[in-house]
Amino acid sequence: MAATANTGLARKRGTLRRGTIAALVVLSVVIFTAYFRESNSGPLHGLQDGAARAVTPVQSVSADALAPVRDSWDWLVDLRDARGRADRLERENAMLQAQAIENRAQAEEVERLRGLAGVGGGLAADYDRVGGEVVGRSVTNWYRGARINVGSEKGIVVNSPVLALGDDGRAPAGALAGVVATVRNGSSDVRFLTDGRTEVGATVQEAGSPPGLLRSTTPGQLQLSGVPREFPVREGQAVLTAGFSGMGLPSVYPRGIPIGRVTGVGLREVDVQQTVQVTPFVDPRSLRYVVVLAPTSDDARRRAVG
Amino acid sequence: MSDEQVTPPPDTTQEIPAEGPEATTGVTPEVEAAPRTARASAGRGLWAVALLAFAVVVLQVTVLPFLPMADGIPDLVVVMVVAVGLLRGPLVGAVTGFSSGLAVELLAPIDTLGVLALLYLIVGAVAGRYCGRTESRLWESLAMVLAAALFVQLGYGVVQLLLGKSAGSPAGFVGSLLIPTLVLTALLTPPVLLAARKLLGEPRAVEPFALAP
Repeated sequence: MAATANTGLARKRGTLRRGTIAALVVLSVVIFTAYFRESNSGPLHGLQDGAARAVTPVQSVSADALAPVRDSWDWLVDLRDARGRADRLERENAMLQAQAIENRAQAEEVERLRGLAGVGGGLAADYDRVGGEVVGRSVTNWYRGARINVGSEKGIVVNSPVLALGDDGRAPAGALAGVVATVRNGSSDVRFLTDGRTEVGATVQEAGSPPGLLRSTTPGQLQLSGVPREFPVREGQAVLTAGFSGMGLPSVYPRGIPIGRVTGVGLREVDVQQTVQVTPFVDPRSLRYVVVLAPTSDDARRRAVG
Repeated sequence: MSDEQVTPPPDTTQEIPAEGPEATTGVTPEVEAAPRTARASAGRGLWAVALLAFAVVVLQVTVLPFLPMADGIPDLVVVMVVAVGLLRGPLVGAVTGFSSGLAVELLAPIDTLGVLALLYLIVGAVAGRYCGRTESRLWESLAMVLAAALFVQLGYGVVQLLLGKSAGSPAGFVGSLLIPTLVLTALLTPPVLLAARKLLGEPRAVEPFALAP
């Protein structure tokens, strides 16, 4: 009699267990579906924002606490790569000194012509530069992003371009790192260039190519597509933001921000366009401080809207 | 896996010492003899699970992404969820997986919600089916963790592809992302399993709350 009662109870418990697990599966699917169907101001995004707001101070403290560990790790990595980097940097330095002289002359010429034509004042006129610290990072390799400790209170909006500060000598100051994907009071989430969903209108200025579309392919590598074959793209040339997307529409990234260097060009006899492999200047994994371009002019705000 | 376990009367306890899936008969004498002690033990067990999950989620969100090793980020959460499933059964494994996944998605800068919760939930529920079977064989637990980590990575990858993200070449994905992640996860598995075992004690499946007969 007691055994029958126990068996019945066990059956009920088994049903309840399976029911609970099934309910959680359904709940996960509902959350997942609702999250992608709702707008960025929806309740689930709001919940995520609230959690992010609450945890940002903790992440900030832990990022500071971990700084010595990260410094030690970086030092070890640098030590391993030091000799190869030194040789490469010496060669690059000689090349860049020559380029710098030429660039200065060209910049003066551009400024003079801008003054004559009354055209745009560049980044300084259109954007405020807001410094931020990386306090959180993505936990998966799919979403390559980070959380920084500055947000809407500093004028940052969604689609504000994010640049490397260049404090650690690994990336040149002012090189493009990514774009603000989510903004809230006190923190923002940045989507890096190396994230599979970031697309940038870019050009190889030295080759005089029209804007192509740059996006991440394999980790740490970008690919510029849509460059006609008649433009002579070569390895080592710099890739800059074009100010326009591949479709000719204004891009959220203003013109002239350095992105990376050409490391390979794919062109077959039958191809109409070249496929250009680009190594970005900024390695997001080592990024600790960034500069966000907060729009101040109407033109910059229009760009951010996209 | 046997889902139908004969358990003590509902007013005694909610935990069943796990002796493998075939351990389906009999009322545990110790539990009958000391219901208060058993109930107290159940409470401690669940608090220990919550404590372990909290610590691992905090580590996963705040520490691990800052230590760039190759291109991989070790998945400490999957190790913890498998450990909890193995030590506390499918229900606690699933609930721990769901809540840990949701917590990670809420706290980290990541543009999904509910995806990791679902994947970890499945991992916890499946690992829980082996509660009590592998308590003394580390390599079996390690194999289970690696299979679970692979499942989570591929599952998350499929969702990302459905959302329109590029994975690059399959070789690049496997060589640069998948293998480093699995290797780093495997390296972290033994200490996490040992810590979970020390904190949670012997494997015992926790059943749903007692029902009125």
